Amino acid sequence: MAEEREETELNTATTERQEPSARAATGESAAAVVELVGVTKTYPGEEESAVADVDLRIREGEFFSILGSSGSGKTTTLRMIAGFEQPTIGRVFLDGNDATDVPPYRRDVSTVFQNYALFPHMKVQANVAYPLKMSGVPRREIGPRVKEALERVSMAEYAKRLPHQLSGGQRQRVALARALIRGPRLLLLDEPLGALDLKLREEMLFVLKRLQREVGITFIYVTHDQGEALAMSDLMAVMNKGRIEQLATPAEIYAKPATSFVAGFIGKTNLLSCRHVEGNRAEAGSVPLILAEDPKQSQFTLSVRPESILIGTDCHSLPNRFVAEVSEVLFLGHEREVLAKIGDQRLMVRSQDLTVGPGDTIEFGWDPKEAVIVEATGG
Amino acid sequence: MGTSERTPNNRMKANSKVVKIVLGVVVGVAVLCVYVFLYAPMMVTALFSVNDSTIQTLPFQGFTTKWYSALFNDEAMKSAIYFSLKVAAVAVTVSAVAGLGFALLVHRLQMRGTGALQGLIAAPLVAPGLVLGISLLVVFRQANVSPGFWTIVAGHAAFITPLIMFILIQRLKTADPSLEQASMDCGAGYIRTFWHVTLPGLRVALIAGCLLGFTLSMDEIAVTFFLAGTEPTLPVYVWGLLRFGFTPEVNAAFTLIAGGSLLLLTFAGLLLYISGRRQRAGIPNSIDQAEGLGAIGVSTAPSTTEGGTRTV
Amino acid sequence: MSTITGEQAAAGEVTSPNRLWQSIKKFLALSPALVWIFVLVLLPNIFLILYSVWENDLGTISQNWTLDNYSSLFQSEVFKTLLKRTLIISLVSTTIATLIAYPLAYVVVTKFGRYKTIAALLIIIPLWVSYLMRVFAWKIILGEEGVLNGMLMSLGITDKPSEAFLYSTTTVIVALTYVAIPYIFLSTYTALDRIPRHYYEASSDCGASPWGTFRNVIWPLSRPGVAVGFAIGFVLTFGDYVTPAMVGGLEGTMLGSIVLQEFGNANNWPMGAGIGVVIAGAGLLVLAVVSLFTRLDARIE
Ligand SMILES: Nc1ncnc2c1ncn2[C@@H]1O[C@H](COP(=O)(O)OP(=O)(O)O)[C@@H](O)[C@H]1O
Ligand SMILES: [Mg+2]
Repeated sequence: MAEEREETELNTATTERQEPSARAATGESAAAVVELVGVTKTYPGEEESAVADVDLRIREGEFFSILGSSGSGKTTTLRMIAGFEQPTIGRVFLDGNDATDVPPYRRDVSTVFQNYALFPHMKVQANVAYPLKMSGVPRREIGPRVKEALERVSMAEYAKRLPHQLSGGQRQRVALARALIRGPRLLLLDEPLGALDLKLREEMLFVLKRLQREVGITFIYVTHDQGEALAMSDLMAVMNKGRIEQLATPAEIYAKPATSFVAGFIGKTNLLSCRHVEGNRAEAGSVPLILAEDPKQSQFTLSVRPESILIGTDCHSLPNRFVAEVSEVLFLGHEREVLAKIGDQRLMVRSQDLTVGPGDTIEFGWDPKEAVIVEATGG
Repeated sequence: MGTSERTPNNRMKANSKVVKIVLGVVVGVAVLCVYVFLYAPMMVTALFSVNDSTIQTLPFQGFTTKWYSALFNDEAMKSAIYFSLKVAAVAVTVSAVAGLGFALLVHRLQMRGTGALQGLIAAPLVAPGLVLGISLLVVFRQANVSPGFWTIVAGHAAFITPLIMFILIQRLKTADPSLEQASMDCGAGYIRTFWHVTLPGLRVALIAGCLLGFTLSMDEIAVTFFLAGTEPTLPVYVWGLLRFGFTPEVNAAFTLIAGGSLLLLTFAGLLLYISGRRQRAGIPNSIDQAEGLGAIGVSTAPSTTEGGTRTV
Repeated sequence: MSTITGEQAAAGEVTSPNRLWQSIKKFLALSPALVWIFVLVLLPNIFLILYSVWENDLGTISQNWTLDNYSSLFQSEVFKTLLKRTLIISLVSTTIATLIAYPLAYVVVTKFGRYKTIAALLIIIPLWVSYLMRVFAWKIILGEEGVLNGMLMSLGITDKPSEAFLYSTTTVIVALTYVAIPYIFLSTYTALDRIPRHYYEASSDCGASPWGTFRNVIWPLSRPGVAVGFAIGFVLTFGDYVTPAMVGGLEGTMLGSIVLQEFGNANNWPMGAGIGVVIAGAGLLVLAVVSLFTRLDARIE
């Protein structure tokens, strides 16, 4: 702890943030760094809204992710926070102040662009120094701070290179250093790892997480990769067609998806459309199921994660138990994905048994508590 | 960097809005002035071509079409126009063939030195007209070629060819090479591939380039002046009129020629725009021809599912 | 399925006859282009230079090598005055044109949104209208009985027509500025349009005001385009003879005007060729200087 404190003390940028963090420390409910209120964005000449009626509150020091497939409005949301776009309807608050009409250069927000946007004519050090130069930091202070910022992302030895002489991962680090050097209140990252290969991506995930811990500022991280979002975030929002489908912690989103879209988008899942029979009993097609509690609707969708389905002897004590025929098997390395047929339903289960093949029968079942009702489909 | 100090209060906001609007108006007016400046000569010429006075001054003396009818009765002017059209047609034809050949050459021969090749071919396009004119003139004199139709054609082809070449290279760069490869895979040789796949893909750009070249040729004076013999092209003839005794008939001629040029230009622009859009949309012009050859090299990309898979 | 093309076959077996054949084919393919370049580019320039070092003997040219043409040029007061005046006219009009065209291109690229292509086209279009017409119209506008004087008089600003506007250095500068604007615009617009939006945004994000963004990012990245535009404008105006002939009068005579005389009435081609070489040389010099000073190491992604 003490060591970490010292490290942040050294960082001149953090001194500027002491007032709000002090407020957080005094136990006041953590202030919202960003707040979007009823924000809708419709691009001129477009019919559909890119972002529709979004409400968001992101607190101090959070690692917040926005997850969604491409075209779901993530970038647009981020750009409105940065100030590059104006909402068509709604307001954007930064630190409690209405910032809807504030131009980007007057916002205490930094962005790491998807394509890095390093200025091609400036050396690495000039790129990183740029925000300091623009905010009028005295020349003699700039040198050491640039050096420190580059060291933090292990890029000090590349200070004299031009951006096109760097690899993708290196540019990424420089972009991070540039975004962080002013010690912004808020860092926006738009699919920052999108252009990197798998190995670099994992490495950068660690770099990002470490940086966020070290500097303690709020991150808003946009990605279409559920793995990244689940691994990194304190809180995440799942977006679809411009709307937020669910806003919760990764664990909650994984365990209790609010909609079938979320359930399908996060991890693999079995979605069963069910009909309520009576009490805690329901039917998916012709297959009878036991639920954990009485459903409130007569028609609903049930999500059952493959990993919560137990196979063979493990499932003997479970109320939902089926014998099914294997129709397909996919080898995944450490396990197999088995597509099983019960009645008119198909379910995906995971099996460590290496001998299962198509045509075999397997026995499986799940604890009703593991299945989640994600959507009502009828009154 | 206190955030409170960054939030503009209402007065500041109102102030900056006023500044913004004033600045916007100033910039708008300045831009408008430039446009007026650029189009003033054309508008003045067009206006005075229907002004009922031999003196070019305000105020207007009333509307007349007599300069136009004078123009159509001026045999010398008419034969100059005819000569110009002939020169332009031949020069553009030569340039189209040469430009197409050079564009394909530069595009195909992916070797060092094509940059220099392009640069050398383009030199007449960027050289001052005077230098191009006199340098060709001395060569022709040395070769005992007397100035006339063919010397003008050579001078015009020298700068229209690179223009067409560049337009075609641009198009070739954005074209899909897999179509040609597909055609070759289907057993069509170089020549048949060129005829059925490559050329149709370039056709629109080639036509547009020819139209642009045509207007350039019709209007050219700096080079032509040195290369013309006894028979003048229209600009050379008008040059003479302007220097020795001017009639407003010239305004009428200018207006007609400019109108024609703008018409061709609009047409060429539309062609280029449409073909560019088609190409960008992934529907190359040559797709039907390629299909005719049984060369459907592009399979539809498998639709990718995003995120996790859904089962059930 | 696929037929083996000549190229593939050559790649397969690297035997020397095949390679030789390959080079011959390449050369044959290149030969029309080489002939074209030789006849229309190299030969004319060679002969232009040759003429300038040949002797002129009352209109007949004897092919004796001499530098007399150049030495008499550079001793002639008329030539020196004209050279100086041409330089001044050309530099001034190119500079004014750049000062108009570059900000215009900036405004069009950054402020016109999806109308920018149309706006840009409207500026380029005059290039396709007869040069003679565009220049001559300035005579109508600026002449003693011209549109400008008429306007000034009817507005009561002047009471008698001013002769100041026509047949002067200023007239030539106005007309040449007019001529150069579309070219310089084309070059600067292309340069500015190549700068992606995200550089503006990144700079703004770093806390730079619009002016700061322009000065630190946009100007350095578009400077080569400005330089090329300036060079084109200079080359274009420096060698012009049409404009001085139309609106220049005596005061507006430029180097190009005497080339015309030497090839015409004066019938001294070697002298004319010499001036032509000076004009071409000045253009090349400016191009060289410009490309030297504006090398950009950056690569815009
Ligand atoms: N500048 C723009 N003009 C018009 N439509 C846009 C623009 N930017 C994005 N869109 C549209 O808005 C929607 C959301 O886009 P975006 O926010 O970029 O999504 P994401 O980042 O999640 O992929 C998309 O349908 C996209 O086509
Ligand atoms: Mg995006």
